[in-house]
Amino acid sequence: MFNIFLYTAHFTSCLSQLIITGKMSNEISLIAAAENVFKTYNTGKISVQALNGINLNIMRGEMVAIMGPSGCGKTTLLNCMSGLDSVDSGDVSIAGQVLRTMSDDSLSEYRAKYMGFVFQFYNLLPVLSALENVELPLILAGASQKEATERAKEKLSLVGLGDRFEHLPAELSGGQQQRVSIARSLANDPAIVWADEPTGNLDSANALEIMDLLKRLNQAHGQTFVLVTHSDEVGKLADRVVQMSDGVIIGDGKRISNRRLS
Amino acid sequence: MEKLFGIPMSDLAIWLSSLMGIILAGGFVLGLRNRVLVKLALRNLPRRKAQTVLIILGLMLGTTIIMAALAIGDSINKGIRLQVLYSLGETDIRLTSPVFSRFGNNYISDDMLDKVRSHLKDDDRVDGILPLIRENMPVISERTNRTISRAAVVGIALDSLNGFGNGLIQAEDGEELIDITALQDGLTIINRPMANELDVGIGDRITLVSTLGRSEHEIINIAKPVGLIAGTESIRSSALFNVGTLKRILDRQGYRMIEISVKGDYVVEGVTHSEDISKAVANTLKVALVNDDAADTLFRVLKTKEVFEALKSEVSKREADSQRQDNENELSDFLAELGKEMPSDRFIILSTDTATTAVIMGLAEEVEDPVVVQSLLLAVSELVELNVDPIKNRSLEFATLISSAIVVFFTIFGSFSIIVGLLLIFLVFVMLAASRTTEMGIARAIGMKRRHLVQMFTYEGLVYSLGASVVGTGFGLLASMLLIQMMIRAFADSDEVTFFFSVTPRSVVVAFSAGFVLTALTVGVSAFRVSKLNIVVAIRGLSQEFVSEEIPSSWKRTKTVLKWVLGPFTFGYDTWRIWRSGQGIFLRILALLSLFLVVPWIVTLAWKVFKLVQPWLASGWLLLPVGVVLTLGGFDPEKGIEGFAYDNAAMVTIGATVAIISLGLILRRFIAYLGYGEEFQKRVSMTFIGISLLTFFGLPFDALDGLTGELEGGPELFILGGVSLVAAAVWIVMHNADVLVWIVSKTIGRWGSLRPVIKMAIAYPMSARLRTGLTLAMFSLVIFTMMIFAILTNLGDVVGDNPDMASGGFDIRGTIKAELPIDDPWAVIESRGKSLSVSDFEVITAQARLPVEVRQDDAGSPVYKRARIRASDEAWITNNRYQLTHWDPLYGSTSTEIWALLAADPKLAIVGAEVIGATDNFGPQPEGNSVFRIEGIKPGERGEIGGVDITMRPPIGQGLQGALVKRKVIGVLDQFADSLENPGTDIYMHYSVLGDLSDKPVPFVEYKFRLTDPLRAGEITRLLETTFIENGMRAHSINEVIAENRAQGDAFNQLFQGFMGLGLLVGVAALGVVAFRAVVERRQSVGMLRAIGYKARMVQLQLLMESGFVAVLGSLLGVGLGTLIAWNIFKSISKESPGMTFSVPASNIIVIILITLMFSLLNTLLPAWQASKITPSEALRYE
Repeated sequence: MFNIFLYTAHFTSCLSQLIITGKMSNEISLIAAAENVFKTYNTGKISVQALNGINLNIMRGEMVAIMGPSGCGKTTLLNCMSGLDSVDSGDVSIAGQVLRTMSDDSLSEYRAKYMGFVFQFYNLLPVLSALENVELPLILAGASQKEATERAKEKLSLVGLGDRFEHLPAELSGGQQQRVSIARSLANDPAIVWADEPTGNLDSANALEIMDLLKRLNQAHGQTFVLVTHSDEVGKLADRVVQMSDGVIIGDGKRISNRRLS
Repeated sequence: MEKLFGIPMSDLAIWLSSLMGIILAGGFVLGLRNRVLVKLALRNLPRRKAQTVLIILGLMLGTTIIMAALAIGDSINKGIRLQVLYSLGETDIRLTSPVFSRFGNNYISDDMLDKVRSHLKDDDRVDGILPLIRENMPVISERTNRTISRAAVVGIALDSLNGFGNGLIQAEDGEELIDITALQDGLTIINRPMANELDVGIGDRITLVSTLGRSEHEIINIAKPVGLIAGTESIRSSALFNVGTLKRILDRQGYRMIEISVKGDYVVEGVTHSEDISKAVANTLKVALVNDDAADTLFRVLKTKEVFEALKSEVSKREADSQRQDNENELSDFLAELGKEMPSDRFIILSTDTATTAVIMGLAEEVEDPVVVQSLLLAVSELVELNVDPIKNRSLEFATLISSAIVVFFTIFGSFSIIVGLLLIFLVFVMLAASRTTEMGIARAIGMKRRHLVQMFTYEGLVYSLGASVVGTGFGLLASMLLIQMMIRAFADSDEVTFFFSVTPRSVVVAFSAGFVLTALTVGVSAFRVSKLNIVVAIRGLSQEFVSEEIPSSWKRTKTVLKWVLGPFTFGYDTWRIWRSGQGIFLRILALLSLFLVVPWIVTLAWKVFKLVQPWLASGWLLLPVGVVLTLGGFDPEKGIEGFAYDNAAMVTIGATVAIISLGLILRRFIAYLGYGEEFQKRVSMTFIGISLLTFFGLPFDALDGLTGELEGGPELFILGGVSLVAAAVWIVMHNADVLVWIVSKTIGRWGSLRPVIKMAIAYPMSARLRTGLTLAMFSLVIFTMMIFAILTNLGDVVGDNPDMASGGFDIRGTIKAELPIDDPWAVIESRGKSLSVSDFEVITAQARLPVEVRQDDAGSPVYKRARIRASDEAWITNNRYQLTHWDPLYGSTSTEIWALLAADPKLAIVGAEVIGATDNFGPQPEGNSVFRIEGIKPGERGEIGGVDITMRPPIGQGLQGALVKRKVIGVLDQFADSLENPGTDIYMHYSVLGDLSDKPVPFVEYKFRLTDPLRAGEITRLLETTFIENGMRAHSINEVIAENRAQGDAFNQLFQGFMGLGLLVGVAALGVVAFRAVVERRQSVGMLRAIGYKARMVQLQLLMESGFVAVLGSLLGVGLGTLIAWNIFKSISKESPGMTFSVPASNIIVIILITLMFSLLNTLLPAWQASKITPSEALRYE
């Protein structure tokens, strides 16, 4: 009996890996999907309907911007779709795998291997150097120390921080910290990177630099990005803009944009 | 408890509570001026309730430990005091005959009684004079066939009971009263212990056995064992008779003693007592009961030039010896009295004092004129007509002495825990400051001054301190109550002491205010640290929470000092101007009053001067001469510079520490000069300091004696040394932590899934080094103390592990009354023994005791000193298995060979270990220099010695006058041999010596039995008491005595371990506090880790590993350093008392460490669980 579970788990794992890395078929390009998702926050006295029946599909290689006014449910949607938060009803699936059915542990593993995160406040670990911060997800995914160091250096060089390996977060500027955080999100070559207000804490010059970087990664490496932002500048760079208001999607428009910021 | 570390408790209470008052008043006045700050500071308390509770719990532990130590002292004091009061009842002073019973009539005659009565007739301080007989006699109940080998039998004069309960004593329920005037001839009242032991009741008859035969008495009542019928410490069974009855039974005239009751000004347990009146009446009696002729002779002889000079040099010798403080004043007084024309009352009072007598006797031998010596000795021996013993005062003083010693013991070891508690307070505030860094940075940015931050922090801290003192005192009381309960249970079977939980208000005041003051001072230091906050660093949350101030230039610092030096002049000038200017009277008075600011001025000036030299001190070179001067100043005068050596170990220790630190700082400068980076400079210099201090404090205690000479040092040095040792080790570890990290990541860090967890579990503690260092220090210190204690208690178990060492291979020891000797024990057993037969015994031996004066023939000063002969029969000499530590190889090479020779040659002797000064260091030291010691044999150097010739003579009035007996000492007994009997300065030899020294027969009083079946020892002990009832034999199974001693020792150890456990609680609490803070501080990090794939249990595991890392490292340091210091202590003790073996009680220690680790992990479990429950989205939501 136990073996059957083991095999099933192994099979599911292999299957999902195949799906995500796209080796099974190029035709399957749906990477994340939210289906009729509801989410309510109860603070005790009042309850806030954060998501009110959301349906959203994210395709491989897309750069999607979720936009809307403060409090419309953008971050909640990102948290729910990335598995950082649970949903009240509805389903979220990543590469066909329904998150609701996964245990906390397998969700953690899943995040480690197939997802990357970028946050508004960078959220680097203050006690680790830039290199160690990027190494951490690699080590978590089971890479050897040597391998982790190599890959981390590679990613840091990719984001233009090849000379800042040993710096602690507090010794870097905001823009540099966000680059480290992007390098960290890319460490495991994830299927999808979730970015919550990636430029929200930066001045306009740094913001443009970061967006340029993200766009470059999206175009050159086909990396899927889902960005939450209320900046029109950022929105303009996305392939597709999802507009939200009061927990529902009020607009979903594709944009063909090859404009690059320099 | 009257004193703590030599400071009277009342003074401590006043000082500490005043200090507390000043601190609180200061805070209050400042608070009134800045109410907004108070409001801002105090709003944190109700808002963060959980944190407030946690902080108060963390801060209270120091107070808890102090309170517990004091309450335990109070309880023990009360227990012993009550025992004294119960057993003495109304008796304050006891008068006895100075005659030694074996050599004369030691009963007080009716004439002498009349003399005492007439002296006290008009003395209204005295409320009772009771002549009585008190003897220990065998008692039998024919009906129940039970016996008591020795009971305290008391005969009272029924017409003299005024002041002694007026003829009434308490019935056994303690409520009703029994009229003892009904005690006619043939009747008796017994106490409850006797009724139980004989299994008799009212109406039964008991039989007393005396030299004249047996006599029966009817029991008319049973009383509570207090006062006249309390028995003694070792003999609890007691019976009361009409004194006439006992006189008849014993065929004696007069009385054994006269007891005097004085009026008291306080009442404890129904007994009145006054220390001052007791002392005054005793002194009156001493003067009244002195032999005037002998006093005159003594006065005259002591005044002769020769004797006076000798006495004077003895007094100055004693004054130089700081450990003899108590006696020294009385001797100086005595010397002063000798300057007068006539012997004064004061002279008589002092000369009857036993300590003074001992000094005079010692002196006698140094004076060469035999006539002078003879008259001196005769005068001393005939000085008093009756011995006057203020017995209640003396016993109560003894009770206080014992309990003070226990409290000091507890406080010394408790100091480590208290220091740990203070470190915890500091840690709590470091973390509190860290959590508020941003908030405080912003406050500073918008215009708040440094001192405002300090004040805010202090207000908050004062409230915490107050709360912690209240809670800590409460917990301390609770903890001590539990520990005393443990003691009560352990001593439940013992008749000797009954413990009560008791605490005096004074102790509560001391503990409360000491806790508050210590906490508040630590708060002050932490607050000062907060003021160092750098705004930018704080707001940006950079890695250094605090950066050091920029040091102003030397010139700027000098200018500041000059400004402060000149300040008062300009200030005084202004004041003078205002006063002269005819301004309003209010302003003028204010100006005048402000001149009182001189004290704050001096303090500030001193501070500014310190700041001026601080940078130079920090560079090291200025500290070096300070350290060297201090070190040299502490040397022994013999080794140090003449006129500049104060024989002070604390000075040497502090000086050496300062010198080592300065060398480290100089080294740092030098490395910087060579161009190495800051990291390297710091590591090398700090490691140098750490290792040097570790070596210095880890050296055996006498390692440097060759250089410094033997130094004087108190218990504070032990605390200083211990704390410094641990601090040095933690210092080294924290400055080389990356080496440890490297080792860990290269070893266990290789395990796949554990790797990220280990990486984080190391990264966090290493990034907050101060916090980690403090926690590590606390933990190490606690384990260190427990370790020392565990090893030291293990040393004391030598007898328990080798009972033969103490028993000599005998199973039962029996003592009999000298008046009821046994002719032939074998014959008695054969004829009288009902259930006993001679075949039950393998060996029966007999010994007699005789006090003598001895001198060593080849010693520098041939002075006769006190000792005791243990005259033994051949059976004892040839059958004992006692071991020798020293022996003369001319007579044999093993203990057995030497004993065999002793049996054959009556001219040989063996001495007990005390004779060469090998006694337990922790026990009371034998009194003065009047006790016999052999010079030239060192306790620490076991092995072969040359025989020592000694000469013995009987003390004056106690034997064959003029007799001199010579013996050769050929061996020294192991210190544990015969140690279960009342120890003394014993010389063992063949019994034939008795006839040479005594003109009266000296009977054997001590019998030892070796059984054919040792397992029957308990049963045969009781049978022996019955068989030899006519001789009043009291028998004990030696193994049972050893076991009892061991059990009581264990009980005390347990009490102490429980107390030390409180300290452990502090260490564990520290880990808990750190873990709780970690969860709060790292919410976001945890959220991020969870987002990038950390599993919930990995978060949990990480926090547990962080605590585990500190706990394991702390335990290792504690175990290592504790063993080192315990070894040093052992080396130092074993030099004096050989025979101890050093061993580490591994299982005990493993249990301690496992429990510690378990509790610290349990303590982290909750925060770790909390952390793992943080949902990533929620954690990430807040910045």
